[in-house]
Amino acid sequence: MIEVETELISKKELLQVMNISYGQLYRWKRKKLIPEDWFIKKSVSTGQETFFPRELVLERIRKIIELKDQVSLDELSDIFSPKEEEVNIEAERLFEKNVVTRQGMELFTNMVEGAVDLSDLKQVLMVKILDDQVVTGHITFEEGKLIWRFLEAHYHRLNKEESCVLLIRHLGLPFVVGALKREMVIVDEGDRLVLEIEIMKEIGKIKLALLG
Amino acid sequence: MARKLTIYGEGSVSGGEVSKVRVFGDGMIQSDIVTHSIKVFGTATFEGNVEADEIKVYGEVTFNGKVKAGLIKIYGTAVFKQEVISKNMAVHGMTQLSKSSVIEMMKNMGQITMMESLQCQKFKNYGTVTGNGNLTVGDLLSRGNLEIEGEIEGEALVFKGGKLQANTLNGEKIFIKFTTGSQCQSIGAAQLVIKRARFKCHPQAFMMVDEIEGDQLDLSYTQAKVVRGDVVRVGTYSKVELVEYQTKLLKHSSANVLNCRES
Repeated sequence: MIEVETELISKKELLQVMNISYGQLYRWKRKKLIPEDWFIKKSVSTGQETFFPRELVLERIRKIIELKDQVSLDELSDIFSPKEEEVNIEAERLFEKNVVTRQGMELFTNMVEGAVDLSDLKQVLMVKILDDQVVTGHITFEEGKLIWRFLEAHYHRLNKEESCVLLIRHLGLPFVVGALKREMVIVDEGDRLVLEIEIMKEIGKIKLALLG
Repeated sequence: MARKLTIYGEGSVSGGEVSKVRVFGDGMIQSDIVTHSIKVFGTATFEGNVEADEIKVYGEVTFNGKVKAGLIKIYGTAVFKQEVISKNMAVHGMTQLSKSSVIEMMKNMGQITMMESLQCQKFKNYGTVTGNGNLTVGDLLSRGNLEIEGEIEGEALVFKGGKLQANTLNGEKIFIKFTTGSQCQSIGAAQLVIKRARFKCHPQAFMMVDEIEGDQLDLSYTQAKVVRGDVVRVGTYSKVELVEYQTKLLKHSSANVLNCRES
């Protein structure tokens, strides 16, 4: 269930705003480009109507429309839908496509003491996190290590739409929490939420960059 | 793999890896089994998980574990208590699928009861399917009865004859030609055609739907509360309370549209 407070958009309005047809919307749903959880059925005066979480679905559909002429629907489905798969990613390609930098890769090699295996998406994700956060000085190397330990142990459970990893500092002490749904986690105001990584989104970005 | 397992009369054995399983009497296989072929002419109960290239049931069988098979043919009665994964399944007798199953090609000439979801690439139904799960298919052709409480979702859904009853129908192309009164809560399709068969048809048979949504809609003998579409044709003897259309609305002289608005 999606939180009650999220702003909703009706199917009718969605089709009008995005100027897409009913068939397209459901074709995308069947291809798993739009998760089933987002189709929320509600009773209205004329019977039942379907609603969507407004921000999420608008963003997703904009992206689909933008990409659909360049890549096939099946490839798109790979980007958006969470599933385990074997990917063959070479380090050079990652640098070439500017997914990660050499500095990030070096940091990661240090962290895992040489055991880099880039066919594992979670490792690529971790390199990207190091790149985005540690290299820029947003979080420390030690905190990066914490995130990696967490990802290594729990990635398979977090490989879902909407799940995220949070890095929180309590009295300066960092710790990592995984959330299957972001709304379900309440962080005390005294604690600082340093970092929030939406796993599927990040993975999607990586796949997208590699495709382009 | 050389071992052959045959039960005449009454017997219970443990499973393992065998080349063939034949049950003529009343048999019970007590543990997991991996085999090339299973044929049951009598009554059999498989307590463990089953992995086989082909399973043929002429008698009665109960699988209490998971089943993974290439070809499954049921001429008698089969009850699957756990999930089933199969390439090809043909049902001429009675089958119960208790858990969500994945079957690539399904052909039903008998009766299937599904308690949870069923996923198929191709589904041909000439018999009866009842149950309360969701049916997800690539191509569906139904000439028999399909009465489920869940959703039917697929690329191309074709219903010809027989009775159709489902909560939701959703697909790219849906074609319905019914002979008896059919009911759905909502139908959604890019292209939808609803017709009544010319012959062998009950004169008072209508398709009753609460809500129809889609792009190209062609309805006849349909009673609906709301119809929303791009190009909507309300054909012979249809009755719609509200039509919301974008490009075009066509009405047959015998059609009854209470309200319509362009959106």
